[in-house]
Amino acid sequence: MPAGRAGQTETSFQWVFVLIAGIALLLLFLMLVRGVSRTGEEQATAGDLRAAASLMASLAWEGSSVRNVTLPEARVACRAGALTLEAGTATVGVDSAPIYLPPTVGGRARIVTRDLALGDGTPAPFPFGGVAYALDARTAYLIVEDQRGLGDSLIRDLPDANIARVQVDDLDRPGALAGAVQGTPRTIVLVIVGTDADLARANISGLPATADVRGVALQPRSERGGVATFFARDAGRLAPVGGAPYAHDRIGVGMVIAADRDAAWCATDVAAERARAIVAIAAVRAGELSPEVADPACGALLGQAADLLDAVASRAGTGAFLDALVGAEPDIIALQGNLLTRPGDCPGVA
Amino acid sequence: MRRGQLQTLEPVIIVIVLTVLLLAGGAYFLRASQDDESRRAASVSARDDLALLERLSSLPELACSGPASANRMCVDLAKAEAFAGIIAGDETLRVAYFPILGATNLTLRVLDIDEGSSRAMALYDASRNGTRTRATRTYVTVLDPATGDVRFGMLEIRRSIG
Repeated sequence: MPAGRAGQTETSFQWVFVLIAGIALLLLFLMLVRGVSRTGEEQATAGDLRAAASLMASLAWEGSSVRNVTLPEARVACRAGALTLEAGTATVGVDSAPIYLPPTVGGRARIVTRDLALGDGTPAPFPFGGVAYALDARTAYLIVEDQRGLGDSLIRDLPDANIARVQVDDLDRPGALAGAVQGTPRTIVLVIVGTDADLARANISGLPATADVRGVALQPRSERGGVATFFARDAGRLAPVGGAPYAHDRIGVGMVIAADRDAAWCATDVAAERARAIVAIAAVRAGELSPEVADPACGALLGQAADLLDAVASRAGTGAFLDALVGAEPDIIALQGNLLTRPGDCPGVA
Repeated sequence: MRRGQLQTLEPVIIVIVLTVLLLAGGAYFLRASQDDESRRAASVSARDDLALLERLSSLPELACSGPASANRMCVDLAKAEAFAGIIAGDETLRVAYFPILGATNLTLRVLDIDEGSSRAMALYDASRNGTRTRATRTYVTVLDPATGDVRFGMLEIRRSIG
């Protein structure tokens, strides 16, 4: 202050400091608020990505910790990361994957998700969804692989599983595949090859018609630790085995591999519970529709379907239910085929 | 008030002014962060609900089947009725669906445009008790498989937010 007495100057200087301190504080608060907003935007972006992933997958499993869902009456826990499906860039846990009635492929622990079929951008070509399997120790497996030993991780993860292996190069040799599946009660053929060219060569239609064999084509996608996840890029390239394909059917488009037996059992139980609900819904639906549809023949078929599905859904226990489901598969497929080929608006089984 | 007195009170006034500034700034910051946090949470939660609504119409429990399965936003009326009936009478099943459907209340409204009326069907209820709820809705087509009629419908998720 250029003019004035010493007292005036002294007083004014102190107020200047107050002003400076006040402005500094305000700036600090403004910066803090702006920082919070920016963090919020970043978190919202993460939310966008999560929502987008959710559209692809039923529920994303996050991290590798144990995910528990605790409710007053129940606690469901499967080890996260032990069981995953990949659909595009999304990952789905089997506890949330829709299960469906089996088409022409089968397995004890089948995990089915429509989202997988949508992973390559095409709509699900069958009523319920794609097919995937939980590899367990109760089913026989035949691995058709190339020379890179891609089946090693499966055998390492499931040392007790009944797994036979055959090289894709050997498929040209007459009887090689038939010999490999001979004597196995229910074999799931896993065609695990690394290239499109190899996949095209892996023609497993030469399997004996009498063998109880179901096929699934897989493309290796990633191997993480003890868990291998496979994804079929073009499963339809292989001819279905074990019977004529259902009109809307495709061979499986994905697979769940359990890192250990406990995880496989856990997945099987969760999957079976969901499958039972879907079968029960289909049974009630068919029963309700049976007297309502205009075509009496259609109504009769729906009545048969309701009885069949109800019998399957009412089987107690996971193993018994899955066995009943697999056992009823040909009849369900036949009924579905008959219903959908009827003239008019005859609805399908489900 | 004389100059001498003013000079004596100056430090007190400075402290008071600084305190007021600090309190005002703190309150502003707190409110801004709370608003932002609640906005962000609501936004993420609403997106989750929208994603769930999208998924609902493709769940095999509800989705139209056969050729109509290509339409992702189509709900089979008979399936929805069966699903609602089964899940309402089975607590274990409701618990099994919790990982998929969450703590929500799901309702399907079937709209009859000719009559100007609608019918609400409670599909699933595992919502928590709360004084405030948020509803997220999406329109779907509803196929009556008995007649082949297609109607308008609305899937609604209600979730407790407080």
